[in-house]
Amino acid sequence: MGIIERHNVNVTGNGAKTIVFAHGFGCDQTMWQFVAPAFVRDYRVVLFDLMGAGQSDLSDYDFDAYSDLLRHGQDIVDICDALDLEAPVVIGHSVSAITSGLAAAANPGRFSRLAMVSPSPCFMNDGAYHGGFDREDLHGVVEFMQENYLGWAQQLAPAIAGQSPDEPAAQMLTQSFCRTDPNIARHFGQVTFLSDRRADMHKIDTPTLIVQSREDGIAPVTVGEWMQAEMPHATLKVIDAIGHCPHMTSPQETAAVIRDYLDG
Amino acid sequence: MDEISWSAANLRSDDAFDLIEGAPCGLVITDQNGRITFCNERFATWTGRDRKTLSTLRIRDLLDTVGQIYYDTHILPMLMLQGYVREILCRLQPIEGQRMPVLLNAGSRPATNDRPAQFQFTVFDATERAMYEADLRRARDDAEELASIVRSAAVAILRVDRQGRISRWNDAAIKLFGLTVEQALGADLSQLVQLKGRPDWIAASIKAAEAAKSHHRFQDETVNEVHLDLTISKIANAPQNSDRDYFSVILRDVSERVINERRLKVVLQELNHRVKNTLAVVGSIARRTFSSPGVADEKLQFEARLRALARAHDILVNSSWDSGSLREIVEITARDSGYDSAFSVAGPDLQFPPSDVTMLSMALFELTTNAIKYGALSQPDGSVQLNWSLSDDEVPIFTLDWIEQGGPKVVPPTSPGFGSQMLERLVTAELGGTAELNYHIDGVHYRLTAPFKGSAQE
Repeated sequence: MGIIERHNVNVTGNGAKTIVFAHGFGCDQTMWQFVAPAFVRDYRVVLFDLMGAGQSDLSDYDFDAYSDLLRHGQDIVDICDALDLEAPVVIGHSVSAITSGLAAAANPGRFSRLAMVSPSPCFMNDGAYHGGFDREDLHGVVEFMQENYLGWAQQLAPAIAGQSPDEPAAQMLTQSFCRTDPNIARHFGQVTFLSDRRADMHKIDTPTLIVQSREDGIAPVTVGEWMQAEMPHATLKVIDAIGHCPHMTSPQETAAVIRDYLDG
Repeated sequence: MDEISWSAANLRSDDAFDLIEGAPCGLVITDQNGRITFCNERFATWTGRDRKTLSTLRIRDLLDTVGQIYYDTHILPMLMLQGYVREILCRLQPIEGQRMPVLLNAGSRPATNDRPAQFQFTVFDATERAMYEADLRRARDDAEELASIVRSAAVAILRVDRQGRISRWNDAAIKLFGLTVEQALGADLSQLVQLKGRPDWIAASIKAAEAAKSHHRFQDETVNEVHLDLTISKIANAPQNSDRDYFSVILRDVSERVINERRLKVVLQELNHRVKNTLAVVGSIARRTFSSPGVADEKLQFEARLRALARAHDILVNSSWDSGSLREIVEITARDSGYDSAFSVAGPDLQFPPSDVTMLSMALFELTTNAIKYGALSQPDGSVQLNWSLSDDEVPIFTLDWIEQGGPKVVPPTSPGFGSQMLERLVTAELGGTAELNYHIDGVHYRLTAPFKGSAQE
């Protein structure tokens, strides 16, 4: 199985330039379904599932290798190589914003620009740095993934049979977007929330847009400000959105601010 | 027949009110950012906040920290992507007090002409379920830990049915029998382990284990001369939906130990032979050296002492040179003197270390010889009372009393001979205690006290 199949890569859109969208922790590439369409007219749009998420080939999830976020970053590079993409734009949400940054730092010039949506290089509070969480909280998340193991099975049950009439009728939901093998979910949660990549941020030379919601309990604006100060070519835009997923709750604003940046 | 119209639109408003406010679950409506636009009284109570305060909050703010992260990374995306979430276990974080486990269900309602898009939450109290699941997880963790102990154990562990057919096994079992996994399943244990002369050992052991209501443990040798230590017990918690009984069999290959023990026994016997030969040679040298009639008495005495030494030696060899029983020493000494009916003996059976055994044997021999020659045992009515005991101290003190009665009037010897020297000095030096040889006029009284370094037997 090639990397295209392993990562369930989907390519749409027309355009000389390509945008690769990388989704964050929790779900899969469908998280981009409200933003990606805004770019298909002018760009080739590449969507894929992170290794261990969505429809990726779970048998390829190497627990040791994926303990380093850079491994996920390398996947982005490998996908670009396989598609023969020359200097694409990479847009990453949350943890994938960081992994795309790590990939950019390790492969200077490989990407033309980055857009980081709700990024955080370190979720843990550390002295003057305010990541938002104590170590104990973050370990709790990992535990929590396990607790909801039983709940998971029910998310899977394609809610078709006996579904109440007012559930969305178009049940494209024979899969569940946010479900994966519990061991992988737990491991990825651990790597996502316990990694500290602050020391890598200043190495990201690629021009980068940082998009931050004005109110985000996971990646607060202060973290965006810290990153802008740390990265040589970063621009921070705070948009009027609430929560950690502005690309889902405020897709128009999110798409607009990215488009402005890419056009500028 | 009238058409039944149960549409909620036709519900009396006071019924609707009771249904919502009195529902045993939390009902919450929020906008797409999770801002609370309505909740019922039950939900407000659970959060420990009034409804006015709640109207300024987002539903995520009411969860504990991990719940908030989960909301942002899973619940919200699922609501946006698939329109609903089902039975997510989270915890409400009241302003004060314990977090409350809840099961969160939600559906997304698209905007209509006169209403913005919203999320509707139904929240159930999951306190009991959370406890039950915590128990379940604990039990699972325990079981996994035990299973990994069994898997990695150095002894072979199997599950068999009453006919001895194997249904489960660990790695060590595979290794012991040199089987492949495919060969092991359903294999007949009585064929794999054939004990010498016991073709029905499985049935017999199962019977013994059931009779003992616990387990049956024994050692035996296979036809291939492998020595096994076997333990069979009934598995109380047999696999579910099974009307069959299952038994665990633990096999330990003890061939090496058995062979070593045998080898040691041979060496000990050989050593005993050699020591006895040496004693015999010493005896014969003595006989030839002291051949003049003037020292005949001393010669006999010497030979008798040599025999006493050999007896002590025999006792030790029988116990693999481990320890010697005081009672056995006393019995043998009394028997060999030919006066055992004149002894009355009382004391717990004590095991002494090898060096003490030799000394105690020699001391008792000297006392007996003296009693026969000059003391109580030289008279028909004379007797010896031999008592010993241990104190309760942390290092128990051993006390032995030799009391002669019914003998002739005692006359202390004019000069100390070998016997009294041995009883007073040699014994105390060796045992690290004190000894008193008292020539009481009614009979000799010998008392030995020493710290006890052996073991008391039940």
